[in-house]
Amino acid sequence: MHESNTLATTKQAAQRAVDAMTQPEGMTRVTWASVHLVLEVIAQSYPKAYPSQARISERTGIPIRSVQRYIAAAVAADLLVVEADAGAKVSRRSPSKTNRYYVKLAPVSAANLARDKSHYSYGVVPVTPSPETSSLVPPSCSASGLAAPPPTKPQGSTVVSMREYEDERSRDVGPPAAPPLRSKRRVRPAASDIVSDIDSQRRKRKRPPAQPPQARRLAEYFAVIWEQMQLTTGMHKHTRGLESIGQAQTYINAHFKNRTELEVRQMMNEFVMAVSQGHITLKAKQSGWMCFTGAWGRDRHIDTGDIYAVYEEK
Amino acid sequence: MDDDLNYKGVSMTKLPESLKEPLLQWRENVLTGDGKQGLWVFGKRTAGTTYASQVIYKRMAFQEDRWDPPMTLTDAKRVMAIDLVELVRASWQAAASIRQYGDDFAVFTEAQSVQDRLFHLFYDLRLLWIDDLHHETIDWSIYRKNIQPYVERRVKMKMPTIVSTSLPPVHDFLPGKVIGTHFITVYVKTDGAG
Repeated sequence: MHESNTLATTKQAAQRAVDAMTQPEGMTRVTWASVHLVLEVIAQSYPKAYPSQARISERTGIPIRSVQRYIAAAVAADLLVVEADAGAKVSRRSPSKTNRYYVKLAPVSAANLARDKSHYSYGVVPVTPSPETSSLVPPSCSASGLAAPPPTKPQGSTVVSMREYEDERSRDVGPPAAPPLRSKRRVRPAASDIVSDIDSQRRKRKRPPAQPPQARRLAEYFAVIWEQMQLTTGMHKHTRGLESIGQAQTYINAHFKNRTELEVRQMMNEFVMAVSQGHITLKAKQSGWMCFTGAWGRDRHIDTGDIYAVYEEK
Repeated sequence: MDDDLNYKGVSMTKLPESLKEPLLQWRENVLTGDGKQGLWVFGKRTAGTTYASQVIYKRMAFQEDRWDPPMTLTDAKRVMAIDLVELVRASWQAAASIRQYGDDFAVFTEAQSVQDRLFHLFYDLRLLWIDDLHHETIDWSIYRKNIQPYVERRVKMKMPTIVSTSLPPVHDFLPGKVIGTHFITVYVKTDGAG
């Protein structure tokens, strides 16, 4: 019971516990820095806190031998509990090489709180319910089966003001508080409710607007003339004309909005003609449509007509 | 106006009058620092755009004392457009290498040098000549997105820039107003030499 109370059961709680730890007496500052680092790594691996020494070494940058030394120091300072032989056994006789670590809550310093053995400040601790406390906070109110700390001032702490007491309470690092008891019983929804809910969502979902038919006609036209070019010239036998009709259709809708169907057809004809005559080179793994739209860049640009004609006249 | 029209092996006397006038006008603009600082020399591929550009480039680059402050030869440079495109590609490659090998100092240095060269071209040089910008041979999409904006910025910052190209100033490849506003356009009809 005592052990389970002093151990942090969740990662967050463990990390908070490590954060709250202070340098134990008799340990140098340098050692404490390394020990704290090791403890942080152990806390990070909660709730499955069995990191190998190699892993701790890797995370902290401390050599394995020193990791062992710092773990021993932490155990000696009563900050860590090591459960040896915690993993699966390879054989019956040889023990497993896995250690499981439990971060222990730091004991309250006697000098700070002017008392020796009261555990009220760190987490939930076993309390023998006195008549007055048991009437106020029954130990059974906690879902985890743990007793809550006594709400009254503990004995022997006459020096401690109420404020200090509250401060200490705020540093509690036990298991998270139990959720409040549900006042109402949750009713599981019936299958019919779920179905009707899905149907209502389905009705709200908008359908994409229907695309104009000429885009599909144009996409199919491109596919046809590309295939014809492949058959007649024997070029680009293994090159795809289109990725998909739908993709080409979308592109046509987006980019050839202001052009007539005839114009686009002429452009397609011109392009396929230029490909068949070798004026346009397709790049590796490029489909005809990609080359037509210039998605991967084109090797050559076709200027339709003389671009210098205007300047020649001048 | 300089009467010596034959300079450093290239002669302006061979150029037709229709070319001389805008070229000398641009030279005046550069020396006074007013007016359009860009020169857009365009024509067909073998029309002699390079020759026409060279005439005015050499005249400007070697007359160091005419500049204020006087120019050194390293302040003027002729670069081929294809090299510029390759340089931009190299900068992308260097950026990719940095992403992959972030700790490698050699990779970092290489990337930095590529960036420095680009910066030098677009911001340091007092006179830049981009030659052989043939829109049919170079990857125009790269040029338009990654080089043309810097060229335009140069001329807007009153830094003299010559572009010898096959592209007329009004073309689908180019933004409409910038060339007309910031460049003096010169059309080379026939061989520049004759």
